[in-house]
Amino acid sequence: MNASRIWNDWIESDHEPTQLLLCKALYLFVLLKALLLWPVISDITTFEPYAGSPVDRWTGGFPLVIAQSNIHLYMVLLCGVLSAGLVFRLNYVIAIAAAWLSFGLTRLTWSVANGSDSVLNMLLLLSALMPMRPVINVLTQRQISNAALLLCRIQVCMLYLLSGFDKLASEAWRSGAAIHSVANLDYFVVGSIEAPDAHSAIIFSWTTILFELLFPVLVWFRSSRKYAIVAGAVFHIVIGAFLSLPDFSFVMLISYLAFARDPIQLRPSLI
Amino acid sequence: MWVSRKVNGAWTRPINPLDSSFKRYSGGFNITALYRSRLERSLYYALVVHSPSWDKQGQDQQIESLIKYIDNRFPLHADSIRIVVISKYTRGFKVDTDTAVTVVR
Repeated sequence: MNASRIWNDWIESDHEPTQLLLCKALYLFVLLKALLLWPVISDITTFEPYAGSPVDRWTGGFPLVIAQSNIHLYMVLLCGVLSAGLVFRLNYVIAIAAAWLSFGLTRLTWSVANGSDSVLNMLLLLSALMPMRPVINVLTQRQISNAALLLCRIQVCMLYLLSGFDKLASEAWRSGAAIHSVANLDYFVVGSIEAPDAHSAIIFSWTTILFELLFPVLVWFRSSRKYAIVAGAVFHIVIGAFLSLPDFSFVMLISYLAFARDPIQLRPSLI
Repeated sequence: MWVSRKVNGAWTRPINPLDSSFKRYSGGFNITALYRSRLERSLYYALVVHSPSWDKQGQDQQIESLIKYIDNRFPLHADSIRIVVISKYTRGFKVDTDTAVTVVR
């Protein structure tokens, strides 16, 4: 079978269960994030207010004008859209609104945001291309939807690859000093963990570098995919447990759903 | 970051507002406390990490914002406030600490 045939088969086949699982997991995550952020949102927007950005010129400031008049109204709107996304079938209106409002939330809460918010919003942006409803042209919509899923996979791989190369180019990472430095960050490391000695730091450092460089290769082959996913899950659970980055860990674990072997057998009522 | 306030002519025992939020997170996986801890870090970073885009006025505004936050979060009818930020530096495998900033208002 040639490459063109494999591509055509993949792009025209049904990956809807995987796309559905990814989108619903993203909506659930953003909903939980919004609910947990809500008690602090007034303080965030009062003491570290969003100063505006060039993007606002293209959007007329919408939907941030709602937040600037009443932040709680914005949160109600966001949670309402995400709840609808969880309850109803995937459709373009909800998918675009969820991505847009999540992007707005990140801008409003820039002082507590981190790299995971960028990954999350990128996945939400791509997921806005995944719904098949309302039906306009099934074949074209399926191709766009599958291309978006493929872009999600490529984006996750690029993230690791660039991060791995970045670390490889850094003397601090090659020598293990970066791991030692991270372990000494107050208000970042959870619990009272001793900073690793130089020998252990080098092992941790090179394990991280190798994982980040190998994952983007191994995940594409069926025979090695599950090992790459398990290694990635362990990697992110450890980061989530010991560093104060649970959101980053959850977003990366959710992104692995894009690699779920399809078709996933789900009950028809969920699809 | 240690904060002390002057009430009736006497300085109060220093408190570390960052500690309470982070301990609530690390002690019970309280994500809301983690968001608060990040906000607090963002506010005090302004004292130690100087953005090239900030002028003196911009930095003063950040300090005022931090003081307002502390007054709002830990209300006390104080005459003055003293904030001491201790920075921790790592270079290679060595760790050093130093008093980075002291603000008295």
